[in-house]
Amino acid sequence: MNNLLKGNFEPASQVVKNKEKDDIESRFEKAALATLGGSIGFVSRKNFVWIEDGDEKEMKKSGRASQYDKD
Amino acid sequence: MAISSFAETLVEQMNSLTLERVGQQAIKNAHKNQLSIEESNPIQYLKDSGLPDNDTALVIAAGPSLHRNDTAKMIKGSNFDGTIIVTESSMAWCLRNKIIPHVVVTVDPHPERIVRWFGDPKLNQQAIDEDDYFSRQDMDPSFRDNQLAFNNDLINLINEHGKEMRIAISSSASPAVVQRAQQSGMDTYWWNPFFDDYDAPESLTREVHRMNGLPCINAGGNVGTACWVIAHALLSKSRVGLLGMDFSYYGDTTYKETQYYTELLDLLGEDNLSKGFVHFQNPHTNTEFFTDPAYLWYRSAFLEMAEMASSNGVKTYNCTGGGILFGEGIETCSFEEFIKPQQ
Repeated sequence: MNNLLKGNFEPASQVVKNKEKDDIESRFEKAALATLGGSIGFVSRKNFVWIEDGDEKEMKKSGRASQYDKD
Repeated sequence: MAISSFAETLVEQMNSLTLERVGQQAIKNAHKNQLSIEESNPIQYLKDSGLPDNDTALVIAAGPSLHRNDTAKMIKGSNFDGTIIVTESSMAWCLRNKIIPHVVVTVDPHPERIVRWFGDPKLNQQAIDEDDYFSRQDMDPSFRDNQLAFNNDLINLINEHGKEMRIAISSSASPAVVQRAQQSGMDTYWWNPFFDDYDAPESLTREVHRMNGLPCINAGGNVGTACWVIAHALLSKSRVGLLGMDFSYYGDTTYKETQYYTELLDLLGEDNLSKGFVHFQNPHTNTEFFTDPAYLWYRSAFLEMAEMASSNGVKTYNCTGGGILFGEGIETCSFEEFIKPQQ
């Protein structure tokens, strides 16, 4: 059946690759890559512990954490 | 030292890949855990929970060095009197070896796998057949064989010792993990992980924090690093030793036994599988190790955080006896040297 659908002439101009197919491949690659992620996030060059300003007094109970909390 | 590869190029994308991988599940879990969070303690109360009152902590993660070296004998034969903080994945190993951790830490939101470290009351043969993770993993080889029988024994072991342990549990943890921790009588202390930059517009970290009010912890991508952060940033320990923090595989490990084998195989195919790994020579042991993109990312995050901690007076001692975690801010030494009385 596939042979019948191939057509019987050479196109005069280059056939442009289907963009939709590229999108599918790219989505597949993205999905495959996403399975490689870690257990949880890491944020570079940020504090070890963070709380919003309003909670800072409460957090100071925990000692060293307060020195990292620069927010 | 390290050979440039596909794995290294992936490291730069790991933050966004991780958010894509676990973000949605983690937020869903945080919502489901809200009631349990309200009924127990936020993590800042862990410090006043009767932990050893000195400046030293030992973090035990589930790297293969735990089994390759006689680590349990070394710990039990020592007079270590600091706080023992362990990953959930090394808890079973600790208890089997009669080492009772003060604090167990868990963060990964996976709906089925993480509860296995606690003994899963709902485990059946079908679930085992559908996921070969535990039959391949190298973190605790005891989990590989006779999985149902092992799981039942583990449920009893955790139930027996639950009341003796505290658990620092992330709001992202699966409700199945929360239920097991509570059933076994563990004293629970809650925290939020960093999902993303809390200063970013529409930050998920900020959103979850506003929902439950818990402190947010930069977990460095994994539970082992979360243990270390809790040790110094929450519990004020200025000397932190690390065991089982390999972030890598021994040179004689097969690719199939690695954490992301299935995923890398799907992505790269059998012929290109080696491009997913990076090889290191540990200069302290002169031993070869190799690592995958996630572990490489964990290493890079830890080294960055170790420098920050070091500038705040925290001393980190890697007593793992192997692996790829070495660099600025980390002193490599034996466990015996770490526990030697300070001058």
